[in-house]
Amino acid sequence: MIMGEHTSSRESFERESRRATSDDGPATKKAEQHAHETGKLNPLVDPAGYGVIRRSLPRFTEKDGHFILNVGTPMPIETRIDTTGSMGNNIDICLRVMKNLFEPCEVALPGYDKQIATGIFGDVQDRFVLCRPQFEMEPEKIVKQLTLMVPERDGGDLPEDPHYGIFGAAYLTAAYINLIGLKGYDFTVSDAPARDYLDERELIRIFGSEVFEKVKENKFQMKKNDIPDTREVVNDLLKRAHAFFLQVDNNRETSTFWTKIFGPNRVVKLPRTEILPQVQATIIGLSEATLQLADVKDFLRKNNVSAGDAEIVAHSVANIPIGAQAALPNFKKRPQKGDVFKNKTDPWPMNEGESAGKKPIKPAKKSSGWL
Amino acid sequence: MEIANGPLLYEVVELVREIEEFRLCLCIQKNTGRECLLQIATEAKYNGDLQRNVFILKELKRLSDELEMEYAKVKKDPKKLLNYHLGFPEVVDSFIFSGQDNRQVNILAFRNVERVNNLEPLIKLTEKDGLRVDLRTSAWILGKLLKLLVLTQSEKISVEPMLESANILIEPDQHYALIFDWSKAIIYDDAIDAEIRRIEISKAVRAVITALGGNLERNYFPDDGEKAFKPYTEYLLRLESGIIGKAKKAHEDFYQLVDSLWKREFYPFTTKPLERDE
Repeated sequence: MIMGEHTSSRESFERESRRATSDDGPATKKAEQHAHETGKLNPLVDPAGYGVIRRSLPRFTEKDGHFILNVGTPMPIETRIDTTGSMGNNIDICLRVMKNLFEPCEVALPGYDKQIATGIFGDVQDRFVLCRPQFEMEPEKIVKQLTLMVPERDGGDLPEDPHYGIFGAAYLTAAYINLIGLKGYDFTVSDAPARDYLDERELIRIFGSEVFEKVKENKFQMKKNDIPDTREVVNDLLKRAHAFFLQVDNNRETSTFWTKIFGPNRVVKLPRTEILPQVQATIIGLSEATLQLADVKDFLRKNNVSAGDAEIVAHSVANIPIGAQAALPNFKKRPQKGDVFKNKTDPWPMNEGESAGKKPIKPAKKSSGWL
Repeated sequence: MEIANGPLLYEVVELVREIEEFRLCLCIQKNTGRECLLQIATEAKYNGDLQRNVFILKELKRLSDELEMEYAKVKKDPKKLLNYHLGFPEVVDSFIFSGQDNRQVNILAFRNVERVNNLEPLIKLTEKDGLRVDLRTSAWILGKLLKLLVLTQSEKISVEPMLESANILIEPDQHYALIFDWSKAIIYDDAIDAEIRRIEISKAVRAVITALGGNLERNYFPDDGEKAFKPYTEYLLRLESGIIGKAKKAHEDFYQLVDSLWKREFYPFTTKPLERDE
């Protein structure tokens, strides 16, 4: 296999997660100890680490001065999971169940280079409000980053603070998929409401003192004294990602808050964190039009979701913007494995650039048999 | 033109309506001879809307069947039915049509309605035919719409975006009023927000006021000299303003008023010319 061509599968992820976990406490035990001793997160998952901006880029092999796309169009899937209070063991659950993401995602995202960044969030009263990893494709790296998380399992007061993670997703992500007019996927998983406003001091504490310079570097305009509120951050995120709030439990206050922020069509019930991968794959499949709404229950059942949970999820995903990705103008033109690029930074492969991005040509009038 | 989905065959007769998301064609199910409507997405990017439409319609049918069964256990008159399912179309078939750019096709029919053309959008009456309904005719239209809202609100399905005169169909002879397209309905996990419920009721009333030839801005209704005119139109205005936030209560109150104004009996669909100045 050529370098940079590795992808994840159920088996490879299972192997890596087994290697990383033990019966002796949580999988994040070492990272938690390290954080307690040093007061710092590992740079791989520190939102302020590695230049702050998270990047999702194509993987190429250089040949004859050109660049051949290895796997397919990179598809960033960012998830931030609540680890406050009763959700404190979510990373261990993730390590146990994330293997269930890869098979259904092959159906939902055929031919894409799936790039995964699964992080956690807490509360501003915690030392570490957010752990935001890099986008990775290979199981050992995804697993490693999960074990580097530092869940504080506390949460302070009731509203939690995932909006800082959403801020990162909106303004501190540079994804190739956006260059070609398509969108990535973004999920916030929680059982609690958040706050309406973001605090400048917290942004600096979480992302570092250069956070506003980094936002600017990533081509967004923002003034320190005019920070967008949570709803505005989500609105900006929706310009670059199909974003959803996945609600665990049935707290009324939680659904009211997030419905106000995301709209009723982007709040989806997640009966248990254990079936997060299957629910994500379902949402992605519906958005990409690789899955039909009528087939959702069967799809979930086939992927080991109980009949009761499948019913709840099928009901809830009926509201989402079905086919939203497929409706974007460049959807069918997205680069495929083997496409040749002149330069690494070109948005389109050679010969594609001229037609892509332009207004789609209206199909010629169809024959009399056209409905 | 004929199209097939497995053993089912449909003859497409004529295009009857077109909006941005879909086209509607009158069609005949060849196996049964039944008249249906073929709904096809104008482009594959709208397939999701049509899929959601079918999903909600099937869900509504399941819920109305459940309620009918519950009602059967307690009703005194065995002939009496709730008939909630008359308030929305029936799904006959649904498939992706590979021969037409993989666009979604839904085959829809109407229960107890043999001729699809017997159903007309409420808006057509005033906008195209230059007619308006009289008070008593408007009463059954609103009654049926409120009854449908009783079902949807209790089952946490919001129809607010679809409660427009163009999406309300009436069958004048059998007194059916139904909502045709459900693709923008939202299923809530918790109860629908009180404000949304209130808006739903207001929008249903507004559609009926328009069918009456009324003008909300001027609080105007054409007066045919009926005794019921004042109490009925005043009540409509109050209901439209949002005094009641639950369809169940609105439905009960409305029929209390209707029963006080008119005898319960079949009343033929009655229209009058719409004076443009009205």
